[in-house]
Amino acid sequence: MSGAPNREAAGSREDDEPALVARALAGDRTALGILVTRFAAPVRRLACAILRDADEAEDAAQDGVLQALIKLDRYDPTRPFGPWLMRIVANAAIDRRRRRAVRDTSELDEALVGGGPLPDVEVDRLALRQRLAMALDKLPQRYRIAVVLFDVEGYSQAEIAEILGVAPGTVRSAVFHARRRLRRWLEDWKEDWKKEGAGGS
Amino acid sequence: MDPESQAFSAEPDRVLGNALRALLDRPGEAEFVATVMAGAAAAGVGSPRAVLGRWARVAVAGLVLAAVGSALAVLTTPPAEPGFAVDTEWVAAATGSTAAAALFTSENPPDATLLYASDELN
Repeated sequence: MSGAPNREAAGSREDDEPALVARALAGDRTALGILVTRFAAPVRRLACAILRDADEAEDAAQDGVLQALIKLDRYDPTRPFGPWLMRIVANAAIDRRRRRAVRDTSELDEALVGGGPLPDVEVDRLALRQRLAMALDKLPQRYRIAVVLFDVEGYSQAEIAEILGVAPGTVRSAVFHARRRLRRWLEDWKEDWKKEGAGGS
Repeated sequence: MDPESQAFSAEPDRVLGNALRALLDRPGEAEFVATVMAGAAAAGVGSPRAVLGRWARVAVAGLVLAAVGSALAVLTTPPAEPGFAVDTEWVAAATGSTAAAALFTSENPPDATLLYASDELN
């Protein structure tokens, strides 16, 4: 397992996931609630990375988690729970993306860009966020999923390969290219931002 | 820093990861959990009925396996040697007569003509 912040925070908690699943299957609603709460943020982020639409992502994440809970008895307790769940959610989001035309992703950050003048620091932060959103949108879907699962959620290449149903080498390549493109776009943005700042002053 | 020249790092990029997380995180986690839990309850996840249903499926699968196993055992077991062969040898050895052995071990009723023939001889 890799040492990303998310997984570090989860740490040894992952060890109890098969036991939580067993308790949930036996009718323990508290155990079910712990599992859902633990994975709520990661599955929502993953669905958002795939769909790039807040409402669609929320629906896809809910559908995916519910599908997983309904077939919880098919989970193999000898394997990690996270990748199993993430795979189901990723498939739900990918299916939804295939079925429906994705709406303009700009609405994702509409609330952030509107609303009158903001302090410089806040404007800078929001501009960076917008830029990152645009950069993420331009990435191929597989790159997006791979970089989010690796750099945000902290899954290993092998686990991501299992989630995506591809070879670990493919994941490595996808993460490499996604990072390179995102960094390049962000570097370009920083340069433009500096130039604009220097010209305006 | 030239991104092109960077080799792949197997460690997560925390700066990029934090920026992406800030972009993808949204409020409403509690509502999400509540909606999923309500959906799970409506679908009967972890309900007594679901638990019983799962055990029933296991029991049915066990019964089917047991039935198939029994059928296979019956079909693959070689037929038993005819029991009378041993008895024939035993009776013949004990009486010194193969006719007696045939009489004792035959699956058919004794031939009455043999008895009459015996009376006639006497």
